[in-house]
Amino acid sequence: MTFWRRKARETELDEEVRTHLNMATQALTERGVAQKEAERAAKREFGNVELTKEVTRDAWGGRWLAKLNQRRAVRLADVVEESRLHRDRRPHTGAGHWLQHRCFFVDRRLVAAEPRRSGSPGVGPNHLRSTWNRRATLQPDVRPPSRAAEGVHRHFCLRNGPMVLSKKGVARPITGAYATGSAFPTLKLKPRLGRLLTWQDDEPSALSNGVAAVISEDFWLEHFGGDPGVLGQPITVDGGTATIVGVMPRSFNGITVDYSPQVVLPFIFDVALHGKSSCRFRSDCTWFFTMARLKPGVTFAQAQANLAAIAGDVLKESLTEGYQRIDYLRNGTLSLIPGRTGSSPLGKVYGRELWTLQTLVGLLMIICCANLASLQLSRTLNRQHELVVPASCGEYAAFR
Amino acid sequence: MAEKKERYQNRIELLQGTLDLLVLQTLQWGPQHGYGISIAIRNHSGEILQVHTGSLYPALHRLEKQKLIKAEWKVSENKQRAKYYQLTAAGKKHLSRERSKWSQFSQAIAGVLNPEQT
Repeated sequence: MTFWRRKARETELDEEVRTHLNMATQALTERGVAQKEAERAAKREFGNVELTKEVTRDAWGGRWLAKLNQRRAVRLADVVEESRLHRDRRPHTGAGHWLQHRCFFVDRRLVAAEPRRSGSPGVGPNHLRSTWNRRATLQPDVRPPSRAAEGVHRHFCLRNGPMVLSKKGVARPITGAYATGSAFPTLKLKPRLGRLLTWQDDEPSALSNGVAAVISEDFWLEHFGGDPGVLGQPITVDGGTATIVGVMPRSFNGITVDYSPQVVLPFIFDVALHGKSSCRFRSDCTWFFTMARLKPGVTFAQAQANLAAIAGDVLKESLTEGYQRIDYLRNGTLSLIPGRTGSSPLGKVYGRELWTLQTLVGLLMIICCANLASLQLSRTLNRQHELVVPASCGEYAAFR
Repeated sequence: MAEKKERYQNRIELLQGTLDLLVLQTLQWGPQHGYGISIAIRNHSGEILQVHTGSLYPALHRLEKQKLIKAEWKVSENKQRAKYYQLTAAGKKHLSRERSKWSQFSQAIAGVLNPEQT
């Protein structure tokens, strides 16, 4: 019951907190404090609203069920989204694989085969990663590509990272992500409201026109009350200001399990904030996730083989002198990982343990089933014996 | 600044469990909303006890779940819709028990602190 009433309770709690703040504000204004100052003081005195709500929700109980349901919703959303993508892809490739590289910077050599939009200077994805958890430095855009990845196309890069949202003088942490302009076109997502980021949003010209940002549906509901007028409103993140151009669909929860970005900004925003020290130019910025679609008619194995073949050249051309001395980088390779379920760092860390646990649970279930079956069998045999005895005594009909 | 720091240092943290007692006691005087409860506790303690909203609202909802208090939406004297809490019969019994326990506890502490008076 607690669980089913949760939605209503959430609304009531919001109103209760709002009422508290209004009353506190009113009390202060009656004492002669200016309205704005009173509002600020009331909020200051109240403390962290979200934290209060969070702790109050814990008091309701049934939290694990709500979280489980939330998690299930995310998973279902993933599945739905993946199914959609899979269907979209099928006529082109026939292969159910996404491509995902992790860890390294590799420059745009790998995406040289990517057809660029007319008028676009080509600021599409330029980073791919290998499968190591090591850091390396590759200078972007140094020389023309010697060999390009032939098996994949439509890459995009996305970098998860916590951000600080500033709103009415109050700063609070949010989950954010930087994405290349190709991200949403590649994912083929439809916006919940407005539009999603495009190639043009990640171009240098966007800096003069105002950087675009997209927000998640939950963020939209929480901060803007689901108001369609959110489009065109400014949002201040990490000290920089962007303009909200759209709301992401509820089905999109990012590409990393357990990390759902509330705000997604184009990489150019990072350039606007940090200039030359932006991750776009810095070699020590890693942990970009790159995803791509397989080219039509190319199988996963073919694309993998292609990447492995060009990996040496790509790394050699991309690594700076310092990193070329490091064996594991110089002799590195690139590999493909199916990305249909996104990236799951925890799954990678605890994958073996979870599989072991699952196997043990499976074995336990088999033992239980075998025990139950033998118990049932012995009961049946006993019953059969009971039936045989009256039948032999000529009482079978009466027994029935 | 120094005054603020001193005020912070002098702030009396509520003992674990006493918040429920204070809330129930406040509601014995009549139905009240969250803001009213915090103000009442502050005023009746001579501005010494300041209940953090981060503790107050979870406590109110916890007590409501335990059916020690019940809530009802009403319009306040300032024409605002507010959630008013009031004691239930179970809450009154609980308050009585808790008051008795607190009395014993405070006497015990006083006995330790002032052994010559006992």
